[in-house]
Amino acid sequence: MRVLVVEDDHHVARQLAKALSKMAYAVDVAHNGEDGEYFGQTESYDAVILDLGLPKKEGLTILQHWREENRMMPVLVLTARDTWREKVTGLRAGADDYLTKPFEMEEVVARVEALIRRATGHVNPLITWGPVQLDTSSQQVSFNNVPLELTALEFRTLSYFLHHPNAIISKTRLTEHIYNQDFDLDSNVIEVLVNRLRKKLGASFITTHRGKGYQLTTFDEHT
Amino acid sequence: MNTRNTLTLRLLLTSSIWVILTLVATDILLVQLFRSHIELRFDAFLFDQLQGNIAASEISPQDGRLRMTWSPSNLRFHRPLSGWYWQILNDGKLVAKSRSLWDKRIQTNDPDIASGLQYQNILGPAGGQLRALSEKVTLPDSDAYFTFVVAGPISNIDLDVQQFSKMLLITLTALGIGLLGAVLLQIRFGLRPLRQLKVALTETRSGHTARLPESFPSEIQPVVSELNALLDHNAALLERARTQTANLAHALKNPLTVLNNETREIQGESRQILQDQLTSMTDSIHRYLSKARAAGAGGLLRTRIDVAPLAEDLRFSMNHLYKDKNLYIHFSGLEDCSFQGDRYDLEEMLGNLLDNACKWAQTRVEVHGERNNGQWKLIVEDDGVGISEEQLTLALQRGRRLDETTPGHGLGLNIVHDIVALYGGTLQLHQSSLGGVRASLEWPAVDEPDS
Repeated sequence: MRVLVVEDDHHVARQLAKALSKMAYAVDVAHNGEDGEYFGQTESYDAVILDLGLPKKEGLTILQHWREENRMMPVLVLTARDTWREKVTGLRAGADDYLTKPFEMEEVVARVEALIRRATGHVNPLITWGPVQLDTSSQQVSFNNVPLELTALEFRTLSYFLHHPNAIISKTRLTEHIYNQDFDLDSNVIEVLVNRLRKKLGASFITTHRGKGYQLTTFDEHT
Repeated sequence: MNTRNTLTLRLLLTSSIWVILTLVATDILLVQLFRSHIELRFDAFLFDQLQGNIAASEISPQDGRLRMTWSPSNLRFHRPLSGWYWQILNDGKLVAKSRSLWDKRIQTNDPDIASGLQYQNILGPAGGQLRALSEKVTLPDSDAYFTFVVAGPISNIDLDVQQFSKMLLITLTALGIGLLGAVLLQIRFGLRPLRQLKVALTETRSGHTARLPESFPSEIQPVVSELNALLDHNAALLERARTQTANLAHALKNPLTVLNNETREIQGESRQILQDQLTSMTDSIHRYLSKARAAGAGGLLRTRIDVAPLAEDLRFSMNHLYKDKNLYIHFSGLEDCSFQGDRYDLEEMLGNLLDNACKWAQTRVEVHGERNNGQWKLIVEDDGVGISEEQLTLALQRGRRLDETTPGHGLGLNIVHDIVALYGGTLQLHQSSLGGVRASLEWPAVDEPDS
């Protein structure tokens, strides 16, 4: 899962990136409106944290542009503007959630998690697929009710699969959603990651569709 | 107000003094003129009578004595001691006299032959003051000198003047009263723009109008324009102060966020102290920022705001902010509900009440508006677990928070309480029959006839 943080205050941006990385998100940071808008237009994000008072381009303008271009990733507005008029305006412009500064880091992370979960159609914070269970609020995975140790990349890959349980996911798409910008893209790494997950969760957990990508193997009713 | 120091009194006093002085002077002048006119006529009458007497006198050729060829016919000179007398003297001896003199004579200074006509005021035989005209002449056929005297009562002049004065006094007094009445009317009419200015200022101060009308007479208009400039300046100052406060608050929010998150890295007692202090700072910023923003009833832009569309906006927001709870937010009785005041204030109150209700609600929030006895009452209730009456009372106390765990939250009800007080309204918290809190917000309904 990959998150974009558009925030001009470097300290706040750093803290957000740190907290999100800790919860195994891939994080990109933009420090001004123009960069933020461009990242949102060209990269694939599962959620965006957007400040409103930004240099070069206003947060609300960016949001409106994204929505006009049909980029529908969930956006959490995180701003010092705290009147109800501003909140209504932000939400009407297409924000999915609105949080005012100063904020508690746990609150932001929880809301980002909820946004991603809801955007992929999950109401319950527990996503279950056969013997695998992902608790999105604590970002913990258990296998047959036993907590499973995963690296950050493994977690992101599994989490992406679990959030999109019925989709065939191409290597490119997977790459876009588990790496941040600074990472050197190497499609072999995806194969390695999938194989490592198969080793931990059973070889048949992920099915390969040749030339198309990967998909979670359907579990029958007996599960 | 000092009743002795009024423009009306000043104008009235100066006008009165002027009117009274003028009228008194007129009175004196007219009485003088009248008296001299009467005296002239009196003297002319005496002169005619004297000339008549002289013309009627001749020296008898038989005995060389003076005799009257005809007797003066005027009846005044026949009635005894009537005050009207004539006499003719020769060398101090009485030669002839009017019948009115009876056996008396009048004492006058004997005039010189050269001095001609001589008027003098003397004491008459009956006691009254007389005015006498005398002339010393010689008659034809004689070389003797005769002194002709005619006299009439001065009291006649005084009586006429007195009567005239009385009439004049009545006339002038009536004129004076009329003039002062006119002055009073003039003052009232002239000062009316000042009263209008006072009314306009009151309207402005109570927030019905932002500026004074520019339709005053040209003498007052400069003052009105200056007042308007002052009002504009005040509004600008207030706006700037608000903006600066908001800027300060906004500027502090990022550092506070950073500090708050950094304290998590610290271990031990100092972490708690730092976090408490940061929370207190955050609360202060929140509270004073909303106070600075609240326009209140004294705000210049008091317009009628319909509650329903604004509530709809807020419901849209709540549905997003509390999406996971999937709340049913129901409105009733809001169609005609309106608020006279600042839009921000209403939004802030309603937003905070709804936010609070949504935060505690389990499945639904009810918002109901109703009007009683000129008051609008807006009830917001939720079906949450609710809190005890005791806590509800505490919740509205200054600086108290309903929810002590999350900074920036729970202050909402306090802020609502503060804002509605600016409009002479109230916020009351009770337990709801739905289970949670029932917040009822009341404010005076204002009907605008020309809305």
